[in-house]
Amino acid sequence: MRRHDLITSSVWFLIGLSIAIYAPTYGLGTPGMVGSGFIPFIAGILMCCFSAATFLNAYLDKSGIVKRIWGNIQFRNLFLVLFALLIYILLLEKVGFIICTFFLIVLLFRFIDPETWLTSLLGGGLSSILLYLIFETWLEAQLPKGFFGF
Amino acid sequence: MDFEVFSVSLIDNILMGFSITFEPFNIMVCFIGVLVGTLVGVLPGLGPAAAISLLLPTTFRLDVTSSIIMLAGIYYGAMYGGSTTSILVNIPGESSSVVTCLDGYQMARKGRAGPALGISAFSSFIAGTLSVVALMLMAPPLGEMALKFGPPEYFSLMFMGLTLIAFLSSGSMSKAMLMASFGLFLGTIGLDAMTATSRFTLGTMTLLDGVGLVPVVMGLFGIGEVLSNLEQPVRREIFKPKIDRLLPTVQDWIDSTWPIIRGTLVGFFLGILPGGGAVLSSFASYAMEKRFSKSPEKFGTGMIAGVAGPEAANNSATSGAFIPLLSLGIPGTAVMAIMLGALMLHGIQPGPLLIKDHPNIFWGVVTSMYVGNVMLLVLNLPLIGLWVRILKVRYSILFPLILVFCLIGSYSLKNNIGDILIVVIFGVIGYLMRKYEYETPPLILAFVLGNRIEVSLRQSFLLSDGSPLIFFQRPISLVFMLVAAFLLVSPMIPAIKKKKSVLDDKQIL
Repeated sequence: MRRHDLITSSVWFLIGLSIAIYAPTYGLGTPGMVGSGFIPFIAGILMCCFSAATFLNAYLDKSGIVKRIWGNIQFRNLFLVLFALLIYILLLEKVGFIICTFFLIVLLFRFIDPETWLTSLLGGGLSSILLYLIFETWLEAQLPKGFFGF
Repeated sequence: MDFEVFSVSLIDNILMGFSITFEPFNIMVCFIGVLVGTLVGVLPGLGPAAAISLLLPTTFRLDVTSSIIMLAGIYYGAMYGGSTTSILVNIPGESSSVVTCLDGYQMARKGRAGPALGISAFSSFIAGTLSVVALMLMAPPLGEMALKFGPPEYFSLMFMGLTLIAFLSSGSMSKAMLMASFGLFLGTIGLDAMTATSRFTLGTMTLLDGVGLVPVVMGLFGIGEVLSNLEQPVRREIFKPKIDRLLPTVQDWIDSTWPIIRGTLVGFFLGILPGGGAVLSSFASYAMEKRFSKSPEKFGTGMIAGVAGPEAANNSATSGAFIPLLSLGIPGTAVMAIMLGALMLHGIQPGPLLIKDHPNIFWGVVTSMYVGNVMLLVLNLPLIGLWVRILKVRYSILFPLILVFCLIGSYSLKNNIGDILIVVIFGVIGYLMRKYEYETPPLILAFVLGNRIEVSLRQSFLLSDGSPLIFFQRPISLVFMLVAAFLLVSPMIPAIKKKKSVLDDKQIL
């Protein structure tokens, strides 16, 4: 029995089931005129079938191999990166691209696999300006300016 | 079409292609593409799919031919670059270069790093060039044939493609099909193209246009890969081999000639298959060389055939992979799915009409591959020292830049903060998929093809007045459906199941 597959296939089954239940609200149509909900409905049903097959495979597995999927993981790094990205998303339009990007890069340089403060500050400054030049000046992407106007 | 007419039009088209490729701007983007590709290949932790998706937004201001020339350059350039790290530091820069570690690194340890790098570059060049010739000869007739396809044939072809990808996936087929189903669902989010009904948009404007390809691939391949690399500290031990002579000896050439030829053929044909790609080709080539060798027991101890064959195969596969994309509009790998997305973002509808309606794109891109292969040969051999130095760039410097590029790249498409959130969400999904061994290619392919699968299914039902028998009454469609059905039931056939599990466990090594 592969425990991790039992758990993940159950999650996928629930997602597939939700899709299959919700899709008919868009209309399944008739055989000659397929409705908007038909393909999502089929996709949901297929997800249920294949997750059930995965569950069954995992349940019947007799290899006895136990994988430690979450062993020796540096959770601090993962959570710090995700937290930083979420803060970045929240502040980007309010504070502006250059300042937000500068602080994000400095934070990632300095606190994940620590670089010196000098490298972090220089790296943050140079890369945020370079990215601004690439996207705003060259690609005319209209990056968020924030309340400082840049 | 008789042979003479075919030859004349082929020569005309090749000349037209070269005239496009040799435009100074296209030469420059081709050079940038192969340079970035080699860099991506050299740097472990950044694959060609991630690199292409990262650079996709930078191509929006380019002409479509120049964009595809650059993106294609990244793809085959990465195949060249990946071997450098495999040989010198026993770390494959690319998954398709994993096999090269086995004998390449052993050659380096025996003081033969130079010939290993040399034969790797030469075999890549030879295979790359030969496979481009095959691509040129095969794609146009296939495209002509596909003009006869109607919606049922297209639906069956895409269905077969997805099952083939799931079948050839390295892990569980049910998981791969599960991912394909999820991808199909993702492709339906947004406004229905036929009835304008908004589906699964959660009331947001961001999802009204559907989930964007760029945020999804940047999340799955870019952020997902970064998170996977950050969860455990990577400490590379760099063995410093002496590289004094890059040119292989006459004996090396004798030992490598047949492996290169066989690798080119295997790589090309496996590359055409959906899900085949460069990784499978290199493994298949290695297994084949071991079988053909008079001394298979010496494989893994520094046999030059173990470098030449797989390197030829993975390069040849990149050209093969372009065939279904450029002639049928059906991508066979995740990278080709991103290429398809790139074409669509430029307003080009890939399919059998692509070669006919946009010959400049097809012939310009194909001939640029010749030029790109020459550039790579020139780049790779003299610049080995530089690539080794680049290997020393710490990941702690690299990953913040990758992250920001992913976020801003997807924001720049529609200036929509919601797209950045999608990138992060798919980054987490991509990371979890890696952890729990769910493969990304079936998801990406089904997602990219989702809309076309839906449209062709609906059109088929309209044609048949709702009868699903239409897929079995038309001969071409029937063949595709039978192959798909066979692939779906094959895991239940014990002999095939056993063979597949042997391949999955890489016991060929």
